[in-house]
This record gives sequence, C-alpha cells and structure tokens, in this order.
Amino acid sequence: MNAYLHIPFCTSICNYCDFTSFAGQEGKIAQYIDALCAEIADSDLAGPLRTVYFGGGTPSLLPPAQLETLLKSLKDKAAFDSTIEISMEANPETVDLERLSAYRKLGMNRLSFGAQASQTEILKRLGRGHDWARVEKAYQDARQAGFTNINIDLMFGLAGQSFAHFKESLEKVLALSPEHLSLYALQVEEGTPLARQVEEGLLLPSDEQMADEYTFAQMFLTERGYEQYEVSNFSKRGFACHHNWNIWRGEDYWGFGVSAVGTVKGVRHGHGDDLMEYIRQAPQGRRGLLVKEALSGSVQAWERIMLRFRTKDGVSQEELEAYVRSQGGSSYKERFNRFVKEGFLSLHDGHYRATAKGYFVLNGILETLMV
Amino acid sequence: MSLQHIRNFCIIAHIDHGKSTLADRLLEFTGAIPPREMRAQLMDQMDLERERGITIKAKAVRFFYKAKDGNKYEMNLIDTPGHVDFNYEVSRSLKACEGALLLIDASQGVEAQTLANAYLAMDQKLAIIPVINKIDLPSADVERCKKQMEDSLALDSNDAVLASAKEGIGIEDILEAVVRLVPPPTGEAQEPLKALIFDSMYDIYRGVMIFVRVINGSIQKGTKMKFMATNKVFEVEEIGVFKPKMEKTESLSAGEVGYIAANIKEVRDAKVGDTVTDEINPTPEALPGFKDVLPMVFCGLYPVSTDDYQDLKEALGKLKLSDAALAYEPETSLALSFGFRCGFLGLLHMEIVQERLEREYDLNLIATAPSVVYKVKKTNGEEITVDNPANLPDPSLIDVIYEPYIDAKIIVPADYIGVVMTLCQEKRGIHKNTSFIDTTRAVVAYELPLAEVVMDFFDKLKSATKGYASLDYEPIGYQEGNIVKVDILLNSEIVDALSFMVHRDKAEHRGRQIAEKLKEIIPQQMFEVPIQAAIGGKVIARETVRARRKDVLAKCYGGDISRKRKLLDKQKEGKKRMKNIGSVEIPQEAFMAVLKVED
Repeated sequence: MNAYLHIPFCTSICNYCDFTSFAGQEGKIAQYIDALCAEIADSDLAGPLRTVYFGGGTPSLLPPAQLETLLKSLKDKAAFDSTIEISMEANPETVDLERLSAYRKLGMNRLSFGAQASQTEILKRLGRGHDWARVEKAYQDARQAGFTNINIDLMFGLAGQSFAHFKESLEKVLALSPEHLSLYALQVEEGTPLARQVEEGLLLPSDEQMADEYTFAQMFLTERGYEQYEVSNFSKRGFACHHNWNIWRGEDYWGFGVSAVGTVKGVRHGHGDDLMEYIRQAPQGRRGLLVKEALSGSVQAWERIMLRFRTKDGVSQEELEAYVRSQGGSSYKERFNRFVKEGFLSLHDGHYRATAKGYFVLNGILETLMV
Repeated sequence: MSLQHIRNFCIIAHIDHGKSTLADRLLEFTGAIPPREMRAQLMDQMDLERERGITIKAKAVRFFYKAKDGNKYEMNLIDTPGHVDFNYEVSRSLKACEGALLLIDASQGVEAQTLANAYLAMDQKLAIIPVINKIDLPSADVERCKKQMEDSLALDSNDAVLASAKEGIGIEDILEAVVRLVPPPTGEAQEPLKALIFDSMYDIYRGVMIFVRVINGSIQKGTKMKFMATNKVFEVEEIGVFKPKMEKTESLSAGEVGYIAANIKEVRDAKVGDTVTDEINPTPEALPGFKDVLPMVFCGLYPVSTDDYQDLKEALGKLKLSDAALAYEPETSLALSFGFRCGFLGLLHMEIVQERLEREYDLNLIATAPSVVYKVKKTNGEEITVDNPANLPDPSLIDVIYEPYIDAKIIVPADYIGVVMTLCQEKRGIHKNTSFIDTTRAVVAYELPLAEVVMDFFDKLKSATKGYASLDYEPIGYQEGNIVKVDILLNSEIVDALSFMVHRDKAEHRGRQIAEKLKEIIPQQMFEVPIQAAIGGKVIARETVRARRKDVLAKCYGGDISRKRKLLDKQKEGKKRMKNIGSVEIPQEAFMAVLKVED
C-alpha cells in the first residue's frame, strides 16, 4: 500500500503553482496536523505500507515533531514494510543540517528539493525564496544528515529562461550528482498569476525551444548514467521514486489531507480544497471529507494504458488490442506502425514504448487510441 | 388624382448615409405611420418590428402630403437596391421616378455610391435634390459637402436641403422641395397599357407580386396582362399600393405606381425591366432597356455542419422565390461533403445571399473561391462551359479556354488616376481611354477579365482610392485566355474545394499565397505535412507544416490522473469538429480562412 499526505502550507505562493497551498496560514498548522491524524485514524488504511509521500505545499515547513506525529498515526493503522520509502518535498531555504538530521532520524529516507533553476533572476520571477547557493547548501546538509536518495526538481519553459540557462542549471545539478532528477516543462495553469501574466503579454519560450531543451536533457542525462523512466523523471539505477512508480503501475494509494487524491479498489477519492472546512470536518469522520468517483472497468483500462505509456514499461500489443476492441474502435495499428516508423514509438517483445522523442508528444499518440 | 399632383421619387445614397431613417421620417411626418414616440406607446416591440418589416420590404410606398401651396400631393417613394451588382435593377427603379433625393452624410461627404447612383439618376434625366443629412453630428461639415457636390456632380449647392433624419430636422423642407422640383409624371391614360416592372417580391399568400410604374393606359383587376419579354400572360387578381400597409385599389393608371398580384408562381416569369401590356389591346412597342440577367459568378456553398444540408436546400429554395438572379444546383466535395453550386450577379450579390442565408435562416456556411463561367473548346471540337474548376477537362483534352471580359468604367478623382491604372494593369486590364468629367474627376475605361474583378478588385479599388472610385461595368463577351487549373495538395492529396482556375501568369503567386496561408493555419500534426500547389503534375509552390514536438502534460501524479484523462477526452472531442483532409486534421475555421484568402 502507498500513502500520500498533503501539507498545504507555503511561505509564499509561486506564480505558476496550482496545487492547493496557503501562504501566511502557519498558525493553522497544529490544527491541520490534528485533522490529518483524525482522518488517518478513521480510514481503513491497512499495511504493509511500502511508500509514504509528504507532498505540498512545503512539507519542510513542518517541524520534525509534527512529522513524527503524522508518521505515528500512519503506523498505528498500518505496519511499515521493512523496505519502506518515506519521501518528503523540501524547499532549500526552509532546512538546515539540524532539521534535516531530525527528519532523517524519523525514518525519512528520500528528499525532493525544488530547485527549478540556478539563475537568481529566474527564481525571483517565479516567486521562489532561494538562490543556487542555498540549493547547494541544503543538498550538502542533506548528505551530511545521511540522506542517500535525493531528488532535485528543475523546470524549463520559464519566462526569461534561454536554452543556455537551462543547460547551465542542468550542469549545476549534475555536479551535485543527485540520485534522481525531475524535469518539468512549465504548464500555464488556469487561474494562476502566471496565466494572467501570459494573458497580459508575458512571453514564454516556444514549444520548439522546450522540445530542444527536453531532447538535450534526455541525451545529457542518459550519457551520465541516468535512466528516463517516465516523461519527466530520470534516476540512477535503482533510484526511481517508488511511490510514483507504484501508482503509475496501477497500485492502490491513499490520499490524506486537503485536496489529496487516492484510488483504492477501483474507487477514486478526492478531498475539497478548503483548509478550514477540512479542519472542521475531519474530527467528524473521514467520510464527510471525500468526493468519490467509481472508476468503470473501461476507465481503469484506459488510465492504465495512459499511465504506462508515460513510463519506460510501455503497453503490450494484446492490452492495446483488447482495449480498442472493447471500445468498438477500429484498428489503431496503421497509425502505430507509422509512429514506429517515424520514431515516436518502439516495438520490442510485443510492447509499444514511447521513444525519447515520443514522450513529448504522448497526447497525439494516445489520442489515436480513443474512439 | 390628377397627374399634376403626383410625385414619383426615390432616395439614392451611399450605404449608411441614412436612407431608411429618412424614409421612415417622411412617412411619420405625413402621418402615414404614427411618430416614433406614439408607436412606442401604442404597439409592443413585436408589432413595431413587424411594422418596420413592411416599411423595409415595401418596394414602393404611397403617402399624401399637404403642401404649403395648399394642394394635397400623392407621393410615391420608390426603393432602390444599393449595389453595383444591381446597377441594372437600380436603373429600372430610377426609370419609375421623375426625381431623386441624393442623400449625403454631412460628415462623410460624397462617396463612391453617391456618385455612381447620382450618375445613374442623371442618365435617366431625373430631377436631383441634394440632401445633406446628419447635420446634427459634431463632425458634420456642410460646406465641404456642398463643395464636393458642386465639383464632383456639378449640382447647384444652393438647392441642397440641410437635414437630420434622426432628429427630424428639415423633413418638411425635403417634402416641399420634392413638390417644387420633381416634375409630375406624364403619360396618356387613353393609350394602350404600357407599364414597367421595376421590382418584385414574393408573398406566401399572393405569390410573386410585381411593382409597376404605369407609363400609359391603365390596369385593373381582371386585366389579362402580358409580359412582353417572357410572353407570359396572367390575369390580374389584385391591384394595390403600400401605405405602408398593403391596401387594394381599383386600378393604376398612367403616372402611378403600385403592386399587382396575379397568381404568378415564379419570379423568373416576371422579370425586372420587362414591359406589362394588355393582351387584348397591346402597345406596339416594349419599353427600351430590358436585359435578361444571368449569373456571372459562381461558388460552392456548403453547410459547416453536414446536418444542415436540408435546411440550406430549403433556404435557397425560398430565396430563389424572390431573387430571380440566384441560381443553384447540388454539388458534392470530398473536403466539404454536400452543398450547392450557386450563381450570382456579382461578388456583392454573392455576399448578400450568403449573409441572408446565415442571418435569416441561421445557417453556418463555407463558401469556396468565386469562379466565373469559362468556355472551353475541347480538342474534339466540342464546346462546354465550366463554372466549377472541378469540371475542367484534363489539360490534354483542352484546345482553348475563353474567359469573360467586362467593360469597366471607373469614375475617380483625378489624383487617383495613376493608382487606378496601375491596379487595372495588374489585373490584366486593357486600357481603352481616360476622359475628364470636369477638372477634378475622370472616367477611366478598361477592358478587364471578369475573373480578376470577382477576386478582390472592389476591395483593392476601394482601398487604393480611399473609397472615392465608383465602378460600373458591363459584360462584353469572351476572349481567349491562358487559363490553368491550380490544385492544392495536402499530404499529396488534392483538396478539391481549394482548386481554382487562374491565368497562367498568376498561378504561382496565388498558389504560393494559399500554401502560405494553409501553413499558417493548419495546426501542427504528429507528422510533417507537405502543402503543394500544382498545375497538373507540376508543383508550382510548396510549404511544409512542421511536425508538432510537444503536447504532453509534464506532471501526472496521483492527483492529476482524473484531470489528465478528462483533458484527453476534451481534446478528442475537439478533433471531432475538425475536417479530415488528406489525413490532416484541419479546424473548420481554418478552412474558411483559406477560402477567404485575398491578395
């Protein structure tokens, strides 16, 4: 089993972010932890837990004691597998050696730093609270605290970010030699300050530039021993993020906290994104917090295909054939043969897999499977 | 009413200079319709609309005016269509009048149609009363209007009436001027019947109603009337006038204007310009100037949604009842599926029909590029006409292609003679002569291939001359032309709806234009899409839409999965609204944009 815990607090909100998070609400953290514990306690979560993921927001805003409380409430419900992966997201400016050591002692064994870029100017424009020196410091501290599995997030397609900027950021990250790298193409999400800026004329790098950067990163990272195991994720051998990997392979996962989503036994559960509402409702039981969506067999089959195509696993011909036939669709093979011929897909051992080039146009590939 | 107390007149104006507002105001002032305020109180909005509908649709309205000289006058206000394509119709309407109000917007001044219409009226020897309208506007410049009027039309600006139809200023002055300056009609009631059909409309209860000006004689219910051009005979069922409500009368006699209903089923039996006479006691000679109008410009009209085909068919059928010049027949296209090949008097007529179909019948249409009618002599000696590029025989079977020419007279301020000549030269025109009306205005005469005119000539002429040029044209038959068919290919497949015929010298330019436009609007696909323009097998222009390189969502974690799935669903839904041409998905709007491409 896998569990996701959402920590919706930040010191400031980045302009591109559309995750549920609140700035200036640190006073509510204690109440929120209580509410989360209540929700976990009232759930049917059962072990053994193989992964736990603290996402946000900024989980590293939580002092070790509060994280300990949360881990304890999980442990009260479900046994932790001996190889459990416990990940947390951290902003470089929120941590120091002492705090990281405390996290490590709690059993945290995977850290994910949101670095995004190495140029101060670009970081400022994003609304980030750190500079590159801070990233290096946090990284060294994490190593010293005993973390042996560290991810660094980078973004491309940012306003004012040239190819050279991106390359420089990538090189700087690589110099640190993290076990894992997430490379995110910027998405302009509706309702964000960024979306408004774009509407008002803010220029962003072209799709062409982003595709060039993506292609460059794929080559650069592969040459340096990283494997691309998903559209946006690269790792050294054995260091894929287990939490995400399990979810992409179709395992059940529980979501706890404001806006968190989970899927258990074919039913997807989501939470509202109102912080105070959550804090008020949680003591009355978990049921009142959830919005449920039962996934039909065909939706589950489709999601499985959709997610697997995003990973290095790809999808078998039989599975595709069965899905398309169940939808009453005609053959997808002609299109797929062309995708193979043009180098978007590879076909080995009866599995179609996205190529380096294919990963970036997956929507166009998936679309041809839809009836 | 004695002829002395009848005035037949019309209002001629450039578009938007206030023609219908003035007509309304004349009717209100004389009590033919209640004034605005009263109507607003007495009738609800629907009724008002209906009343308006009658005013707008009535082709001739009769009202009475008690003039300052103490006499009561019968005023017949005759409507005129306002486009160069309808020059012939306008000339017939003018023929039913003795005078014209030349309406000029005080802030716009003299414009192209002001001149074109004024010259038409002068040709008919009508009394012209200049009216400077909208004088209440802050931007009004009466002196400038007067000067233009004198310079360009040689009208005495002292005769000009200053008015604001909107504000009701000068209405009485206009009526007095009509009484004073428009001569009463002449004609002999005892002569055999001779009447001019100057317009017609279709009424669902009465069939085709014709509007006539009686020249000689008289006509009443029961008269067996004969249309001299079509040789059709109909028994008159009803005679009347619009005041503006329809009102039956006993008869119409020399000098009068009114409508006739005679159970005429088809508008093509009652042609504008035809002469009506009495079958038993006919006039020996028809009125001069009758012309049979034939469609000169063709295009394909297709419903954007194939579900609307039946609706389009019905709408065309209804329009055809009142529009004698409209022709259509079914046509199919690989790219656009089912539609109609439609024929029009000219480009503007085409636009009007399209607009009516879209507005009155709520249809969403795609029109293919306009084409003229070519005559093709095949190598086996056979001669065929081609109004659709799709029907052009294989080049190996073609001996000669002939294209229609027009005699164009462009009236233009002297300063613009140069640009007009350059434009006509570009359009393969043959200069006939240039003459001056006065020191400031010239008539530039050219022979032009009609195909060049229907393409974009009006727009270019207008922009090159800031709207001051007015154009009049007449077809003058066919001349041999080096005409080729250009096909547009997407992914090496011909897009039939984009094929066009063009002079060989212009083929590359136009082919490249379309290819470039397509490149601009075709969304990137998974694969590169070659766009080609070709004559037969020879490629004359090529462009490439580069393959799309990014469309994936960066993040797809536990919380994103549902959203991502829904986004894909939506994307797929959007694809359903695209036309699949040459296995290239093209948004409908994009396709329309290409069809609208202009020089």
